[in-house]
Amino acid sequence: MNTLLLAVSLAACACYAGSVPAQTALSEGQRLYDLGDHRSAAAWYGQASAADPSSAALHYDRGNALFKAGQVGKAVASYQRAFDLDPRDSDIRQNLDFSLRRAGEELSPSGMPPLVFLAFHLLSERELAGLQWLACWLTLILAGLCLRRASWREKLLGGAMMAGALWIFIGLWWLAMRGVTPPHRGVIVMASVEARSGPGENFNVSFTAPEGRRVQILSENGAWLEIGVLKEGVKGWVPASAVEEI
Amino acid sequence: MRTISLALAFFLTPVLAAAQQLSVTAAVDKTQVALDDQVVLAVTVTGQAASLPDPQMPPLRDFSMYSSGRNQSISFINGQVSSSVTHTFVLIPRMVGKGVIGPITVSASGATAKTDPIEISVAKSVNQPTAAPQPAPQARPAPRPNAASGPDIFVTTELDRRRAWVNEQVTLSFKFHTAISLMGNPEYNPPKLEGFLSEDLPPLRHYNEVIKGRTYYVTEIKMALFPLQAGKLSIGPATVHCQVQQDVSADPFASDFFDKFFAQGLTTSKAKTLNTQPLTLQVDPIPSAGRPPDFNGAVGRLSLSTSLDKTRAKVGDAVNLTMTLQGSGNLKSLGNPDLPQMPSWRVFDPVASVNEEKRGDLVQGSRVTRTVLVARVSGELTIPPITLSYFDPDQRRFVRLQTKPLSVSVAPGDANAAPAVGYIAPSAPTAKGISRVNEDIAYLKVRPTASAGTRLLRSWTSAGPLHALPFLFFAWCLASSLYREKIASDPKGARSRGALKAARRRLSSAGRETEALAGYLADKLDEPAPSLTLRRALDLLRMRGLPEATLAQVRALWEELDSRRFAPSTDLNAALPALKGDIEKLLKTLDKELPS
Repeated sequence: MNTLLLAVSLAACACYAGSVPAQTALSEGQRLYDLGDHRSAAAWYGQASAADPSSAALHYDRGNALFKAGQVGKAVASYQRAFDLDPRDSDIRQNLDFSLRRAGEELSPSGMPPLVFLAFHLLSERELAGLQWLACWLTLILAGLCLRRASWREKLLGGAMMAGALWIFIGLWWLAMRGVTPPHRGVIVMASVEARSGPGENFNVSFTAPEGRRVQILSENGAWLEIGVLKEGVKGWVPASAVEEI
Repeated sequence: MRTISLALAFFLTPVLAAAQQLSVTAAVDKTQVALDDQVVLAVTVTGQAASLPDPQMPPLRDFSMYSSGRNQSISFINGQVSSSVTHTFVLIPRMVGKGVIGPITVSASGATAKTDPIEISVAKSVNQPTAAPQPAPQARPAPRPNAASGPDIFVTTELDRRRAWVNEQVTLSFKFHTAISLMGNPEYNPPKLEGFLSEDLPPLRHYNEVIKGRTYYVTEIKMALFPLQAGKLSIGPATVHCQVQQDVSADPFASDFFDKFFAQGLTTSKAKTLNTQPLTLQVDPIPSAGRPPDFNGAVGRLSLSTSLDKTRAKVGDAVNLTMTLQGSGNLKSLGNPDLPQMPSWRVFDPVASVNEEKRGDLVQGSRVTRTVLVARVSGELTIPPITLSYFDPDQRRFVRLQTKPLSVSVAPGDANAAPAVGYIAPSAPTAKGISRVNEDIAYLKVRPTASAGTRLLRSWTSAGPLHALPFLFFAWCLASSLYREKIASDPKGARSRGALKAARRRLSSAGRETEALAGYLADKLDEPAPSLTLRRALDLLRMRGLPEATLAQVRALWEELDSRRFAPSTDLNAALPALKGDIEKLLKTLDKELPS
């Protein structure tokens, strides 16, 4: 148990230490943003978010600055990163949905009730993974103690079973989230990108994708990426510079 | 220019009237003209339809007339189409005096409109003091044929370049060369064009040109072509039908003097059709490298400016934004510049008009787009820069135009004020409440959003090898539990397997040597230790098949230990380590020879 407490303390210290540069970046970026210098603000937030990629606020603010600077595609990429980190934040959800609608997409998939979407995205993937480990620790420790002594078994068996059920539930939830979130995602960051049937200019144009549309990156061939458009279910090759990977 | 025009809009039925308000106007650039000069007649047909009928020209006795092209403009205002077609004609006076252009009519769907007659005074030519009527160019006496060779009459077409970009202007020149007199007006059929937009480039040009030593009277018609697609585009042959003057044939060697005499000076006409050679133009696509995102196909050399009719307004007031795109290029086919997002303004459909000029054989002019904006909110509102990109074919690069932002100071609106013209106000809410003005992104985060719990969970996920601990703990507990269960299920075997360990523990304690040996044998033989005698032990060991040598060692050590127990002596303590060594050896031997 001492080891567990030590690990928790170390993690808490690491979290506190990481918040200091983020706060500085947020203040400086806000100053530039309020002055209307959105490009400089976006560059500032971009550097800060690269240094502290776990800060949803930095990604969100970068998205705001990029959106105001007219770069909707890059704004969607930043909002998506912020949403992946903190899906419960209503501002992040609103801005991501607002910018996605510019590209003919919506945050909540069509046909899914909003409440179900909100419930499914109540926790981020990393939070789910953390909870899963917590439930795993609790289950194994309680189960181990139950095995040690018969007297402890009578007291701890119920708790061990509940912890086990929680572990399974969170594990399934985490797997479902991994299933709906492709491993390699990107966003179109150029206006009306032409997707071709092969990796080169000599192939025919299959379709055009608007700036800000979320895509799945299927494969890579030199300076070309094969993308799949999630909503329409089509795929094609686009220049790598036209896609920002999330 | 004095304009003599008559616009007649009439209606056969109310439905027809709504569908097509047809009118026609005619104007000339001058009403007094010299005999060797020309008059430009512009006939404009307007109506609320995309396709308008051609004007029906009256027979002209006093003038030779040539078509110099047509110019059409179409505008869409609030979804309604209105178009205007201007037909340009060049009139060459035939005689001195008063010439009249009769009423010009247009008809469509039962509706008819016509112009008033136009009167033109034709004076003598300044350079030609003779009183004889000046013939039309085609009827003029041709330059006297000389000794040089060459056809009497021929036509050519040529392009000012053989290679062009998509939507770049190419000038096509048609030349009609005559070295003989023509009878009547020639009929010109322009070449068939596919894949081009065309614009006529008036006026007609007339000049003399010496070709291979022969002087020709040349009539030149120019046309601006804008290729619409890349590749090899062909320009079909142009055709001219004319009547040429031909002497009545008479045999110069005829014996009949009277035949020869009366044939002199007699001429007859002969129909002739002349065709030009087809031409090919290589059209290159606009480069894709470096193409700006807002490029919409504009080619030429352009400039863009914006202006507002007022810089102060109230909420609900209409402000007119004028965007002027000026320069050379096909302005008619250009779209309106895209307006940026202006959530603080209600933006109405733009109305565009094109003013085209054709100077120096170059299609140029301006495209003026007017957009009505109505302020939704008060404050210092800005109209962001408007951008437009075009391709400059001379410099072979894209040029991006950007206007300066415009500001309007908007005061809060008057609640009782009348709405702006063309502005449809949203229906007023019946009860006081929040009315959403526009939608925008939420403001910045000024603090990190992640809570301590979230940060802890994220860090917890990254603990790495630390997560092996609960698995190890559980495995240890499980193994321990299984071991205990195994012991519990086989006490005899467990006693036998633990015999050596227990014996050594006893042997390490002082004075328990006998107990160590006897206890070991009792555990191995599953006998109660206190009641185990040497005899019983030996019997059982023998039954287990131990060799006699081992049994002898057991007996010797057992008796040695008994003797030490019942005959204590201080000298014996000195030999105790050796004795313990013997016991240890014996225990090892027994452990090997006695299976568990």
